[in-house]
Amino acid sequence: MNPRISTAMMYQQSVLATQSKQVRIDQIGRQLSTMQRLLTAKDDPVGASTAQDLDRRLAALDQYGKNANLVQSRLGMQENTLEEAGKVMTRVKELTIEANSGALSLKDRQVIVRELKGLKDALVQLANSSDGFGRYLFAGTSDADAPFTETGGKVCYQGDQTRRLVEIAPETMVKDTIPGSEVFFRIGPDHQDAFSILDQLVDALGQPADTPAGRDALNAALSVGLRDVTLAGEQFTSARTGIGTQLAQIDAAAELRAANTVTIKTSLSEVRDLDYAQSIVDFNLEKVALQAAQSVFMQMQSMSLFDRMR
Amino acid sequence: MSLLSTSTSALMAFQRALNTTGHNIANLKTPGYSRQSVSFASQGSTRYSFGQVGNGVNIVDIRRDADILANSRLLDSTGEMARLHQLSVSANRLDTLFSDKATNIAGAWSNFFDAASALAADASSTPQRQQLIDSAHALSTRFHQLDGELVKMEDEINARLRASSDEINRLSHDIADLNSKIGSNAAAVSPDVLDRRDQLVSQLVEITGGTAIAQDGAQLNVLTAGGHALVVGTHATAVTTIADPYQPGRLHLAMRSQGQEVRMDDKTFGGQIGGMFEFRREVLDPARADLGRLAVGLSERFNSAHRQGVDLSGAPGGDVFTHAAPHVLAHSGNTGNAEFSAHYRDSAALTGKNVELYFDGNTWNARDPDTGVGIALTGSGSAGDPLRVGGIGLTINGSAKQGDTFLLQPTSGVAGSLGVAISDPAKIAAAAPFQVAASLDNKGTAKASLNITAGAVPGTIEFISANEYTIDGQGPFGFVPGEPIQGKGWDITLVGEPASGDTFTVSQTGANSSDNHNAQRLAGVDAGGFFAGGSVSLKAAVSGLTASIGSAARDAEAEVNAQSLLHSQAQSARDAISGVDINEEGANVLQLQQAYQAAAQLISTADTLFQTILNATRG
Repeated sequence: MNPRISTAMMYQQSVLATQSKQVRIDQIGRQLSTMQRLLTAKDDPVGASTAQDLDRRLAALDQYGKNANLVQSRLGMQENTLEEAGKVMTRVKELTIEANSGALSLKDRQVIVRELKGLKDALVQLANSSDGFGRYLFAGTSDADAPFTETGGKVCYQGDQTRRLVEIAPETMVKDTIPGSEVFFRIGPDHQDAFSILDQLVDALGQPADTPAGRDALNAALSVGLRDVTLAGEQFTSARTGIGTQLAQIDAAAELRAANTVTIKTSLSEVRDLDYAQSIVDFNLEKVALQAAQSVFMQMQSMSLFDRMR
Repeated sequence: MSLLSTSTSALMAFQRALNTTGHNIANLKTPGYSRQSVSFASQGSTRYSFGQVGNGVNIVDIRRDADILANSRLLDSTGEMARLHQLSVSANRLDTLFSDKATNIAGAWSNFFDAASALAADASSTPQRQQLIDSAHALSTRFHQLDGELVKMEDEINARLRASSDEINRLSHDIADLNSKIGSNAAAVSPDVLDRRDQLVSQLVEITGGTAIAQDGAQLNVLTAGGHALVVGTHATAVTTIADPYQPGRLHLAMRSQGQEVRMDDKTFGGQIGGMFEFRREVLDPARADLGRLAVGLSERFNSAHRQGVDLSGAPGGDVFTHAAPHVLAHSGNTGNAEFSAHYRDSAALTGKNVELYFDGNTWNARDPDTGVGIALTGSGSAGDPLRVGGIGLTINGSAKQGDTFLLQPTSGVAGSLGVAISDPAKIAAAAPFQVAASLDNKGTAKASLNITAGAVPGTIEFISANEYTIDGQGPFGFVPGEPIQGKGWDITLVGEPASGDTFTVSQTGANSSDNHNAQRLAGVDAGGFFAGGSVSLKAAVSGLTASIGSAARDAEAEVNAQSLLHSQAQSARDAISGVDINEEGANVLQLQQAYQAAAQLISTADTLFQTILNATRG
C-alpha cells in the first residue's frame, strides 16, 4: 500500500519548499548587494574573525601612512632649513676667504663684519624655525619654546637631546627631527657651536691689525675660523644626509605598506568577498528552482478529485 | 424485517458516513485534527425456514485514525524543533549585533588604536590628543551599547518566561480537565476531544519540551524533558517564575506544590523555554562575560601603560579608563552577614567564568558553579591577604555562617561600566617621564640612550676618566664599553667613547614635551600577548569574541536545519496515518453518494412492491 499523503501536508511542504528557496534567494540577493560573502560571522566564524583582524591591520597601515606623511613633512622642513643654513655657512666661508686676502683695510673688514653679524642673526633664526604648528624644528622634544636664545651675545641651547622614533610601517621605526644640539653644537674636535664660530670671526675681523703681530694674529684667527666654518658646513651637510636616510626609509616604508595593503586586501577578498559570477549563476539557479516549486504547487493543487466532480 | 427497513438503515448509515467525510473535509486545515473513519457492520439477519436474510447495515464505530507511536515521535520532534529554533533565532540576533560594523566592538576599537598611533606621530598636538579622548568615548559607548543589548535580551527572556509560565499553566489545566472529562474510557469520547487534547499537549511540549505518557490507556501525563510532571491525570502542576538566588533580576521556573516553590533546573527543559535557557547559559552569559573581560583588559592594560608616561604638564599619567569592580553576589539563603568586596589583581589572568564561593564553617572554598569541581583559592580574605582566585582579590567584611555561598562574576556586566576618566587633552601622557642628555661641553663622542625600569629618580653620571664614572658623586664605578650603566631606576647605554669630564644627566621630562615614547607604548597595547598566559592579545580577543558568537549561531542553525528534516519526516509519518487527503475523501463522497442513491432507489422499489400488492388485492 502506498503511503498516504495528506492534503494539508502537501500544501505545507510546497510552502516550505518555496520558503526555503526564497530564504536562499534573499541571502544571495543581500550578498550581491553588499558584494560580500560574509554577511555575519555565522556564515564563516573563522573567516569573519580573520577578516576583522585584516581590517584592523589595514586601518593600522593607513594610519602608518598618515604618520609617515607627518614625519616626512617635518623632516622635509628640517632639511630645507639645513639647506638654508648651509648657504649661510657658504657665504660665511666666502667672506672669510675674502677677508683673508690681506689687501683689505679695517673699513673693508667692517663691511664684512656687518654682513657676518647679519648672517649670524639669520642662522639663529633658521635654528629657531618652527613647523608651522607652533613647534620648533630643532628643539628635540622640548619644542614648545624657541630652543636657541641669545644672552649677552652668547647663544644657548634650551632644547633637549631626545630624538623621537615614529612607527611608519609594522615594526619599522623612523627617526624624527634632529635635535638642534646635534646640528648647531658640538662642531669639530673642540665641540664649538656654529654661532660662537661666527662670533670669533667677527671679533678677529674687528681688530685693527695694523701691526705685524696684529696681522699675524688676524691671519691665524681667520685660518682657524675658515677651518671651523668648513667643519660647521660639513656638520650641516651630514645632518642633511642623515635626514635623507630617514626620508629614504619613509619612501621604502611606503612601498612596504603598499605591498602589504595589496596582500591584505587580497586575503580579505578571498575571505570575505563574493564570487560575483558564481553568485549570479546561483541566483538564477535558485530562481529557476523557486519557479519550478511554484509551478509544481500550481499543478498539484489542480489535481484534486473535486475538480472532476462537476 | 423488510426491505424498507433494510434500505432505511443503509440510507441512514451512508448519510452519517457522508457527514463524517464532510467533517474530515471541513477540518482539512484544523491543526492536530485526525481524520475519522466509519466502521460499518451488517445488522444481523432474520432467520427463515430457508435460511437467513440480512437486515441491512449499522455504523458500529466512528474513530480517529491515529497511531500512538507516530504521534509521540512528532511530539518529541515538536519540542526539539522549538528548542533549536528558539536557540538559533536568539543566537542569530547576537551574531548580527557582533558582526555589524555599526554595532560591534571592532570598528570603534580600531579607531581608538589608530588615534593612539596618530598621537605617537604627533605627540604634542592638541587635536590628536582630543581625537584619542573622543575615540575612547566612542569605544566606551560601544561597550555600553553592546552590554545594554545583552541586558535587554536577558530582560526579554525574563518577560518570555513570565508569559510562558502563564501559558504552561493554562495548557496543563486544560489538559488535566480533558483528562477528567475523558475518564478511563477513551473509546467512549468523541475523537475530536482526543484530538483537542493531543493538540494541547503538542502546544505545551512546544513550550517546555518533554513527552506525554498514556496512563491506564486513557489519561495523558505530560512530563518535561527532565522528567518534571506538568500534568498527572486530572492534576496540573502550577508553574511559576522564581528569582535566581544570586541574581534577583534573573528568572527561572519553579513548581508550586503545597505552598512551596521548588525550582526546576534550567537544563530539564526543552522546547522554546529550553532554547531560551540554553541561549542564556551557553551564548548570552559567555558573551557578556567575554565582553566584560575585554573591557577590563583594555582598561587595566591601557591605564597601566598610560601611568608609565607623563602628560603635557610633566605629571605622571593617570587612568584613561574606569570600570566597576567584579560582582560578588550573595545567595538569598545566606544566614551570615558576610559581604565581599572584590578587585582586579591581574586582569591578564581573567577567564570570565563564574566562581562559586562557599564557607564550610572553617574556611572559604571555591568551585565551578556548573560542575561543582573545586577551584584553587588562596589567601585568608583579610585586606592584607585577600582571597585570590583567577586574577581577582576578595576581602570579606562581616562573618559568614556555615553553608553560606556567593557567586563571583569576574567580568560579566563590567563592559557597561567602562568610562573615560580624562577630559583634558593635556592630561594624555604621551611622553616618557625621564630623558637623558649629554652635556654640550662633553669632549667624548658618546651618545646616551635611556631605559627606564622602576622607581626612577633623576641622576648625573660623570666620567672621571675614560673608563670610570660616578653617579651623583657616588662611585667610582668601572665602565665597560657596550654594557649599560645601571642608574637609579634607569639604565643608560652609551654609543661612542666617553672622555674624562663628560657628564650625562637623566632628568624629568619637562612640561610641553613632544616626546612620543609613551604614546608609542599606548599604540601597541592591543597587539601584545595578554590573556591566557600571554598567548592571546586584546586584539585577538576582540575577533575571538565575534568568532565564538558566530560559531554558536552557526551550530544552532546547522542543528535546526537537521532537525527540520527530521521534523518534516515525523510530520509526514503522522499525516500518513492521521492526515486528511482530499482525494481520498472525494472518492468516499462519490462512493457514499452512489450507495445513498442506491439505498434510496431500494426504498422506491419497496414502495413499488407494496403498491403492486395493494393494487392486486384491491381487485
